[in-house]
Amino acid sequence: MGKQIIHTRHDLTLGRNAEDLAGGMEAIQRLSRRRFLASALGGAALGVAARSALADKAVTTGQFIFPRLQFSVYDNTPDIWNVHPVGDVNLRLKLRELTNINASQEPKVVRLDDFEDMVLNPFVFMTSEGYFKLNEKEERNLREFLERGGFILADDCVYAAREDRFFRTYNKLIDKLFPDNPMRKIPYDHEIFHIYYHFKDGCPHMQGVPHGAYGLFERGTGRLMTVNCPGDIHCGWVNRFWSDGRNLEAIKMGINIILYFLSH
Amino acid sequence: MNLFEALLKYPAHDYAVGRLVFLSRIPGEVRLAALAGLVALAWGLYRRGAGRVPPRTHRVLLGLRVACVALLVFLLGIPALRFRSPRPGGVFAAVMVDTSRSMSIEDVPAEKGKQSRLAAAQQVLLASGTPDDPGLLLSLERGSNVLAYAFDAQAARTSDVERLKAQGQQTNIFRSIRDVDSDLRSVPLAAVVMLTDGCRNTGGEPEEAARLLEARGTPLYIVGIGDPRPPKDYEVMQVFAPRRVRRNTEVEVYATIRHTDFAQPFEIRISRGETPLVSKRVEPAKGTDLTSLRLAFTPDHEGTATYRLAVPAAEGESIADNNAREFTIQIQDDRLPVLYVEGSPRLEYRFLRRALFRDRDFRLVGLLRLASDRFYVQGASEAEAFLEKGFPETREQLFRFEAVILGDIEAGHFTMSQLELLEDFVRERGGGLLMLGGVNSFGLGKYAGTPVGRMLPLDISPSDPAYSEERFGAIVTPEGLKHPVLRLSPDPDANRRLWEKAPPLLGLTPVRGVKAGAQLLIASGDGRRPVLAVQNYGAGRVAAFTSGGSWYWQVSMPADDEFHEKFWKQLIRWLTVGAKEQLTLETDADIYARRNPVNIRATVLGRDLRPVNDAAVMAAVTDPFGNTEEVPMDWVLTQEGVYQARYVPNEEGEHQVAVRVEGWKDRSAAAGFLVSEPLVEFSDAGLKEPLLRQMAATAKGRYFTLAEARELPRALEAAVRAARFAGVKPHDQEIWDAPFFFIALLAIMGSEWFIRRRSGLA
Repeated sequence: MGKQIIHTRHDLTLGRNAEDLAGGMEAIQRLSRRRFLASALGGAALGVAARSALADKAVTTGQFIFPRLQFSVYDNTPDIWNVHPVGDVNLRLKLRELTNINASQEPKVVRLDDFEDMVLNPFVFMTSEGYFKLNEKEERNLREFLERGGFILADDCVYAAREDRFFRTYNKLIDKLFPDNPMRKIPYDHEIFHIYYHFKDGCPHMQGVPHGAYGLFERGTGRLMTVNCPGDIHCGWVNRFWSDGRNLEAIKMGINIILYFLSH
Repeated sequence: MNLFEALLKYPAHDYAVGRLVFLSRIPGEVRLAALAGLVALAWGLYRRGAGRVPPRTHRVLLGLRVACVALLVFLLGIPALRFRSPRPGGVFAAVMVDTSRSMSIEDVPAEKGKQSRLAAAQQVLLASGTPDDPGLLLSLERGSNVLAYAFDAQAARTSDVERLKAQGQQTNIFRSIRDVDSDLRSVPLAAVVMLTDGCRNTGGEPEEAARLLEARGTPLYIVGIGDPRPPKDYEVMQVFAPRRVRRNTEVEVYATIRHTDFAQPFEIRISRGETPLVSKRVEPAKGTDLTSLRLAFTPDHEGTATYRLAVPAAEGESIADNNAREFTIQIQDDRLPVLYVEGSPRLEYRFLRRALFRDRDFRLVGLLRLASDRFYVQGASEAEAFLEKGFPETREQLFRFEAVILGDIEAGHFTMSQLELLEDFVRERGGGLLMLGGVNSFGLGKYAGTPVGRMLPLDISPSDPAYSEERFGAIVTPEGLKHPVLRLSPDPDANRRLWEKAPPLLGLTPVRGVKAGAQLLIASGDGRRPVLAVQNYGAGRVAAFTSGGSWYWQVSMPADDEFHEKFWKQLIRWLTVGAKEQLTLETDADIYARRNPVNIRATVLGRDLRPVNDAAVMAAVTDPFGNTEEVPMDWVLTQEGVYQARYVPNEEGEHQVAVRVEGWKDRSAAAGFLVSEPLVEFSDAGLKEPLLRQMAATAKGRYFTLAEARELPRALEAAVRAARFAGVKPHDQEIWDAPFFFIALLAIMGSEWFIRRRSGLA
């Protein structure tokens, strides 16, 4: 395969991107399916074996850390901030397999009341099923974290397979912290849906209320500072609840978001 | 005709007025010698017969013979009366009055206080105009025709000395004297009188002009006016500033100040219009009256702007007009493309893009490797679609960028010709190169021994230790604190404090050291490992930043702190300073006097930065009133790609010049210049007495101080008289054939014969 260039929407036409991507994606999917089967039992132990031919060619560089944010929920939903850590493990593995990002496989937890530790990890993943509330210090830290260039990927774990408690709470929180710049739905033609893999219908939706992904767009640059997914892509990373194809889509969306973060 | 005239041929008046001359070619000495010889002969001959006549008779006879001989010798000399008549129409004297601006300096003692030099000159020339105090002009008019001239850069006749004003922008003594000489070439010029302070600042050597008068035989009389001791004065002698900068780039201005007779600290300011930009308190250098200094400011607008560097007038300072100089700078606003090649997505890439994203001066074009054969291109224009295939492969492709940043990407990713192209890009095009730290950078990236390795300011080796993920404090070196890249505050102390408080960096690529000739700006906390080093390479600049974790600066500091952004912006700006542009425009000076020609020069390079000859280039000059004049530019045959044109400004104020090339839609260049009064007249404005004395001596004249000016008319009399008769051919009237001399000869000879006969000698 010759060199393939993934262009921003601003550079070339979308049609050409899709054509270029189709062949490449097929190859990736074939490899990924094999690897997913191998990692269904857990994944972490398969680190070395799971590396694909592409990753072999990729040159390792500085590490990317994918931490989980710890916070408190106040309703009695069972799945809280640390639900299904295997999903993170799988995503880290796939990140390493399918891109040349040197993703650290080490689990990491950060807390909003430990700001110094948070800023050492500018990308943070946040998820749970239920309503949550942050105290004043945590809210302040979260705002400062985003304004300094940090990024939060928020994903609703979807209580009872149909609700959107976390999604709405997160949107409300961000709107409170940035009152003059509310969360908005990310249009389907946004770069984040096409930067590496192509999602013509926006963020994959595994379950819950199909709001579509929302984001906070930085004033003056239009850069996304945080993304809130209502469709439980994290559970897709777990690779247990849906078909391989659907799970892989969730993985790919995670990869797109991380790549967007690292390039914008 | 009366008896006198009948005997002596001419009237008595002629003998009274005329001068007796001898027209014989026999020299007078020979004639005298012959007379002496003949007298001796006569006396010798008469001695023989001395005993035969009484002594008294002998003496009478001898006297008559001597008289005869003397009369004969006299007549043999062809005596004549010579007459010289003065020139018809008389002679001329030129009076030149210096009316340059230095003559407005008030340093000449007057009845009350001081008066200007020009006023003192007018007083010498006009005085009270009474018979008791006629003034120099009236005194000269008694013996000659006087023509008055006012001079500064040139001389022009004036009929009203009283109304003269000291407004000349420059003084050209050589040309002024030459003008007077030319104007009076066809008339007898008895003398030139010059009243001046001798402060000349343009044109040829005054000594040459004095020789011109000396060759003509016209003496030069000079009255020196003014105080020879330079007045207590601050003078801005020189200002150096770049002609062109990018917006938001710090401008360094170097100035030289002369502080004559001032020893205390003084303030210096740069302003634009009424807006002060920067000021500094300066301690004058000891033991000299010249102090050089540096100021810096950052323009935040685009276009051509005029700035003023000034020292406020001090108490006791007699000249304030030379306390300031203006300079123009063209601030460019187009966004320059900078290519950033990154080996893989990482935090440093994200935060560096973020720091430069909103910069109005640079457009960061990202070439991000996502896999070994997959790239993500960001921020590219349509013309940069070649980046689809990866890193540029031709001069035309690469040279369109101003700088290249190599992130965490190994040398093996590039072909050798691409690395060599990169070297040409820096060395010839003047582009900037920056390498960032990472696991595949510097020695670890196998750049040692490659063209890129040659350019780096660091010593690297493939066996350098692995990338270290440590967190470490960075120390700015003393050299770094003075370097424009690290100048985050114009105040040196504040800048030092900013860097002392800087958060740590995360990660470092160890290298062996810094190359000789490179500058180490930042080192690790233990001082042993280089973090930021820079050097020039050919026409361009190269920087090496060994950390891959400057992003930590951004996240460690408050969101509104621009430390991280400023550092990267200044580093990129510094890298791009040398980059050549396809179309450049400049004038030969920043500031002109009205009607002084402006030479406009444009350099035209193709996309591969090779000169373009024989293009159709047009300059459009817009004056302060918005009137635009188009001036075609001609190719300078001896210089490839260079075009020039000439423009003469008629208005004072800021002028703008724009140049375009026919067929080039997206390229243009602009410059500006200022037309204003020059201030050279107040530079070194003391009376130049030695020069004036030398000039007067060369031209066989005389120098007078102001106090001695009263002696001038008498000194001029001899010159005027000589001029009146100079060149006039004398008229001779021969008198040897006057009857009187014949009768006298007969009488002498007849008397001698008669006495000799009576004495028995004949």
